[in-house]
Amino acid sequence: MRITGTNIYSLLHCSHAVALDLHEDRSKRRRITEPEEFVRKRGRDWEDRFVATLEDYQEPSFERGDFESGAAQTLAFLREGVAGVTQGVLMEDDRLGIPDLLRRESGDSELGDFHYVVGDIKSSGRPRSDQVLQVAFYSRMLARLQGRDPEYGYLILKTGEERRFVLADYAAAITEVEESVLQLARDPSQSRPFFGRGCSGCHWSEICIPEMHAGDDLSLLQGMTRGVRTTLEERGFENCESLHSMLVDSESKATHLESALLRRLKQSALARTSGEPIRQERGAQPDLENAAVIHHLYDAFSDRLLYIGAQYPAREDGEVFEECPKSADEELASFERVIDQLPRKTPVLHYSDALPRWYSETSGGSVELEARFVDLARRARGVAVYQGPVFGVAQHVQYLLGVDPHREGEADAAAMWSSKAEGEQWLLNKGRSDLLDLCGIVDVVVEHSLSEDH
Amino acid sequence: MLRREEDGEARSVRDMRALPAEDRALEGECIQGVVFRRQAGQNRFEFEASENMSKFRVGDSVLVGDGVDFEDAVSMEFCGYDADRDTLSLGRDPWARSQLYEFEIDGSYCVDRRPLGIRGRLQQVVQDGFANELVRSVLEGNHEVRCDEDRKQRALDSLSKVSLNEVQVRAGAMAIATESLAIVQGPPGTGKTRLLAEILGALCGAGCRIALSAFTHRAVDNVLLALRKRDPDLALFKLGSKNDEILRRAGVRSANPRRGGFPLSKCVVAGTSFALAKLPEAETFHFTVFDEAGQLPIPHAMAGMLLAKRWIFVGDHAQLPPVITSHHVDRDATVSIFEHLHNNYGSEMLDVTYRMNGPLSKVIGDAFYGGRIKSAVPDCRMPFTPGGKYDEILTPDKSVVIARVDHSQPGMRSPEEADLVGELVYELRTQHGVDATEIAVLAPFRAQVRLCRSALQRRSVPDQEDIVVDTVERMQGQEREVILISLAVGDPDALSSRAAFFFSTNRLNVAMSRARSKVILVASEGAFRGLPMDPDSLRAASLFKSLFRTLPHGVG
Repeated sequence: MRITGTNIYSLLHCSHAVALDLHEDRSKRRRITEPEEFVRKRGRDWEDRFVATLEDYQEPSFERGDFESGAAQTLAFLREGVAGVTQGVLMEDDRLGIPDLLRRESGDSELGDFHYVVGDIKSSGRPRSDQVLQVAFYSRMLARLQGRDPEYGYLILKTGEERRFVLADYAAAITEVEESVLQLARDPSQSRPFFGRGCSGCHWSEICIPEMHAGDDLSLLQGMTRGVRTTLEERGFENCESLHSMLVDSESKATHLESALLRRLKQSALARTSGEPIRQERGAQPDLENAAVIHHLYDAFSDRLLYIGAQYPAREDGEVFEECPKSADEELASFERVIDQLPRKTPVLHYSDALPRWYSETSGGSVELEARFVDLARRARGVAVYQGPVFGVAQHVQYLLGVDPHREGEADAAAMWSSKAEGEQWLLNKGRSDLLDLCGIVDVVVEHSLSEDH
Repeated sequence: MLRREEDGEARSVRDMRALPAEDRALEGECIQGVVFRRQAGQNRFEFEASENMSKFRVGDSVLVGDGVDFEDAVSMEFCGYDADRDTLSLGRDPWARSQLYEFEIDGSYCVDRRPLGIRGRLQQVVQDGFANELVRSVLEGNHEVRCDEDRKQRALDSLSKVSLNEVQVRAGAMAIATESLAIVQGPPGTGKTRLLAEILGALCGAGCRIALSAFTHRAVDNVLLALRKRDPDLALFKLGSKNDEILRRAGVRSANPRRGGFPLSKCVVAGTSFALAKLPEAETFHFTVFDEAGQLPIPHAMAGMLLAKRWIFVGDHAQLPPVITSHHVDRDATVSIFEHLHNNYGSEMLDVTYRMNGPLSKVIGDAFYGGRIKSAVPDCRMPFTPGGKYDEILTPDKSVVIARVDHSQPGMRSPEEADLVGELVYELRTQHGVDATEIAVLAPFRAQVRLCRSALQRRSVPDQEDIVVDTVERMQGQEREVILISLAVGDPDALSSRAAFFFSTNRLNVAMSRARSKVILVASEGAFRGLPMDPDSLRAASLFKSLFRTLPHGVG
């Protein structure tokens, strides 16, 4: 069995997914959704467009699965000293790598008075650690092939910008990750699922999520970490329900875990069983009264604001102000027109910091407007102990309001919809539905409208 | 930047107050369920608190109330927490004279942070700074650095006669001769305070009037005391100082910045940025000298820059950076004045450490300074008498060692590590005779600092009051024979949310480089296993992993 660059990349997200990728039957993966296919296709198209700009690059040609042939051709290209190789194959007994780019650089190696460095083409606007480690993994294989360590690796971002990084800076990290993946290749039983942010989007979700629910896994609780799960399991708390009877103070003494954390986990277990959040006492929320909510739909690949909407007052019958900017040039003006329709000095409630960040990065920021922003996510977090982990607005809507946050579609599908003829209407429907949900959250936060029974 | 920082602080306080007290406590911003017991003297109030995970430190401003209604809460000063007696001490707020302090005996209260919002004072200074053509061109990187060659030669001659090394002489002469800008990087223990004293002494000797600034009072005081040692008669003034006894005995006069009226030559007027910003406009100086400029944000430096047309910056951007609390689109606005100028104009780096022994300086040099640090005291070793329980960890043959105590703590405290710290310090004192004043225990979080302090008390470590137990930030500029660092976190999952703070190479550099001969990292393997998604944090995490792989281990 060979580990791949994809395994390295995935380990940062979930070690159990890596174990399944290495050992499980691929047909058990869930089907790819239409928006996911749309995103993948755009990534492939971007890669093709970039590769088309490269001159004198070679690409090995081989039958599907015949990596030996691909590796032999790649080595031949490298020995020949070609300007670069796309989709080259690097292969060892226990490793397989297919980097997007191998680029010739001057400086001696066993190949001659030149050597190669590794690059990968990405659809993101900023480098991420998983991408860096994937390139570092390929670079180590390349180093063994050419008898010289490349000094740097690089990522081509979606803007075409090349970002380099010094490979030596990440040496210990890639060593650890490689060892972990090789260990999973030898023994998959070391991994087990942990319910996290990425689970719902993972291709193994139809295997892992039911498994965790069936076992009432502790990771289904708000505030759980792997370390705490291990500690609690060692103390005999093997599922959520078992926490109902936990004596917090004595367990805190026995485990050295903070009693506030254990109290919170016990409440979370009770909320999970009841299926309802448990309301928390908290301070007054003066800046949420007479406020507006604001919301946006965004295409992260093309950095496009597709929809901007506000509702004032932030309640069900509040007036909606909204726009769908047609181009990047119109986005800031659209945003400002929407804001201008709100009464001056009105607090502007947003969920998470994505929109304020977009605004300050796009406009340079207005201190006056920024002072009006209030993050509803933090306020919603303080309302209750929830019946499950909260990763974003979808869970707050689901847990606090009991409605399906995706009833008008998923926000991640906005880019796909915007490419269709009926896209604008979809964006407006989705935007209004989301605004209404945000108003519902505001209502709960301000009015303390959770049942007193809880 | 200043407005954003101030607004950001206000917003984070509002957001924090929107959380239930339990959540605030888990974030270290609140102490829940404290019970009022008694008033201990005129200004001191004692509460019982069985658990304190807060980040509060002595002198912090806090609010005491029901944890829900902050309008009616009482403003007080945090005076300390005794974990063994479960006693929290709060004092009257010196700035709230009409405040009533009426607490119900056995009544339960919440203690929350109270924001200060002092950054606004510097806003005018920043406007003036950007209106000043010279300051602006320097900050924009367009300035042509100039020096007086004759003066430089004279400075080289005179500095060569005092006991400075070659690089110190070169850097000092460059600073003395500058007609605009001099930048000196001083890694740990490389004698930058000593060099600064020589530079200031030489400039004052030539009739100059100098403004001296740093981000902290401690840094300002250190330079003043070093200067006093070199020159017993020089006129030294400290702005806005609270009658500091040590300064007073050293003949440093306390001065009100608003009054001005200092001698026109041969004097040093010193203070923090805030104090310098209060000096009358007519007060000008031949030079402004900045120490620990690596901690000084650009707006804060402007107050000092406007006082003169020649500037000397001494600092180290590989040590603690400025404290920035808000998100800023413009990253340049958040780096220190030192890093900004270093990136634009380069700097002279002092490369001989008089503090760290050979093996320690090698680890620090390789990890943080590209291998460019040499030790002037390569063979320095801590006292050691074999036969103790922890010889494997405490042997001076291992100048940097990891004392393993594996746990999975996800928060900001680990009782397991604190217990081991107590044991190790006890053995250092009783078995090996290391002086209490030569030991410091550092931790990234205040909650862990408190646990470590309690552990020393429980273990009855002799003269424990002389042992510094604090966060890294409080130790910059100081040194000890032995440094113990408790990393506290053992759960890699928990590290991902604190990656930027925890995996700070600057903080690790400062913590480790306080030692002269021995560093003990008390940690769980989990502290080295984090894989943050941000590449900058991953680079730092990779350094942690590298240390874990290469340093010797001992089991605690």
